[in-house]
Amino acid sequence: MAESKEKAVPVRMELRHVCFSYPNTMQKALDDISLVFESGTCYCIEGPNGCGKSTLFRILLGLDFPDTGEYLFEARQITEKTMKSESFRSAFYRKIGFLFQDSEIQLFTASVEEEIAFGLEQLGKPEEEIRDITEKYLRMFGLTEIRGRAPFNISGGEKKRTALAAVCAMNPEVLVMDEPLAGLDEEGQAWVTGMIQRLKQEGHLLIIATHNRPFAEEMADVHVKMDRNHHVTELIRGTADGQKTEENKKSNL
Amino acid sequence: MGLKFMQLIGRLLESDQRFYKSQTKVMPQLRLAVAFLVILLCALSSNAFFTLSIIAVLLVRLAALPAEEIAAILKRLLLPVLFTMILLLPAVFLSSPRTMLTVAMKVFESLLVLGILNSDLTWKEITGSLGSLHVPGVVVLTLDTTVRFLVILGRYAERMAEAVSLRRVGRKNWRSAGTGGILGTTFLKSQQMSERSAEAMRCRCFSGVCHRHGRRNPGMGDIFYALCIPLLIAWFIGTL
Repeated sequence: MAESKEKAVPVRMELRHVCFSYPNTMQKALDDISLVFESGTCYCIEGPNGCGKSTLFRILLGLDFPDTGEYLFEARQITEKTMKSESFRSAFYRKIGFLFQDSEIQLFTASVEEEIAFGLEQLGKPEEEIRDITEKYLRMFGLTEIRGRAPFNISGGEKKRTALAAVCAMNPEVLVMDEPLAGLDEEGQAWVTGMIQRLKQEGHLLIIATHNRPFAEEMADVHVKMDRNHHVTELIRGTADGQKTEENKKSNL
Repeated sequence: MGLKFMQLIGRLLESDQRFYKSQTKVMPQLRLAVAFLVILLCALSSNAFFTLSIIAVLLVRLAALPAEEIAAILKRLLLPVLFTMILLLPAVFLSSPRTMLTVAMKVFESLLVLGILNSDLTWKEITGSLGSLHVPGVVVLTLDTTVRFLVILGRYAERMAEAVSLRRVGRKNWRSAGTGGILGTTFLKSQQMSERSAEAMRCRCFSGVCHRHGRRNPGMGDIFYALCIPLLIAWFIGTL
């Protein structure tokens, strides 16, 4: 990413009083969530298991839709209807990339190389360009040696790198990552952290769910804390000197 | 019995789908075409000499493979051939003893062709070759994904079978209870995985059209395999 000096285009995502429940359940998975995500900022979503982080991500990715409230992506409301439009959906997913917690599920092609090329092919890029970009990302993510291997037959760290490479190759402006360090050894964690740091420097909007406190401390510009009641309880913004200011505590903004 | 069966499925899928092999020098579509033709001609042939001559050539090809590969291929052949012979045993007593030998020979030949093909080509190469035969990319992707799921679910079922066997310490019959649980959980897992995979594809702009590339120019091996096609047909006609 840094090699090509690509700069991310500013993006703004906004959730306004979003509530969401899964079908056939009475309990809310998200309860009155209001948040704003802006480019050039790294947001770390923290909270206990089952607090609604993954549901929040599904809403942000347009995979589920709020029961009440609004989700705006670049001032356009994301609803089931807007996501049915092929052109809008394509434009939306060009701008937003998602790294699943379980990379194995995210990798569906027959080789690491094809995995990186897949998204580029879907974007309709010419074959020559696809080849060049694939080569670049194979090198950048240290995957050249295993380029021909089936993604489910490689190690956990390699799977994570492949998934991240496949997402980054599409050069999205927003990167949503669910537990990017989960299941990685120390070396793998350091490598992924370094890569996320690079993405942050390039001005991407990063939204990361994590239980890893040191990682969150290192990466986050804004800490979003959720509780078991599926609320956002704290929004802490980091300052230039490393100190943190509590912007809004025990409220839903 | 049930648990052993689940473990066996897991191991079979694991060993049968060794996806990472060195890339073959001959175009996979030519290999597929020759394999298909050999099986078809042997099935059509009423001359045992034709089938025997093909088996002889295949055995020479088999001998060129590493010892473990040969053992693995022959091991897989044994059961179906024996099964065929047992099924056709009544024919021996009904004054048609040649039928049993002919059918068993054809089964042996077909499985040998497939065994050699499987040892030479990766699944990726086989499905990839379908692309050049104008099979839509989405069909090829579906085939790839199906096999990937089979392997992952096979592993998953094997791990669960191990976990159940480790907990099988009391008086309760964990075997029967465990097998039902494993099958049910594997089914639910497969559903969950397919949903997640579909979402992952959507997030990467997948719109139902899949493009595949990676063609190359033909080499000497390709010419040899291409020549095999008319030669086989000529040999088949000659032995009619």
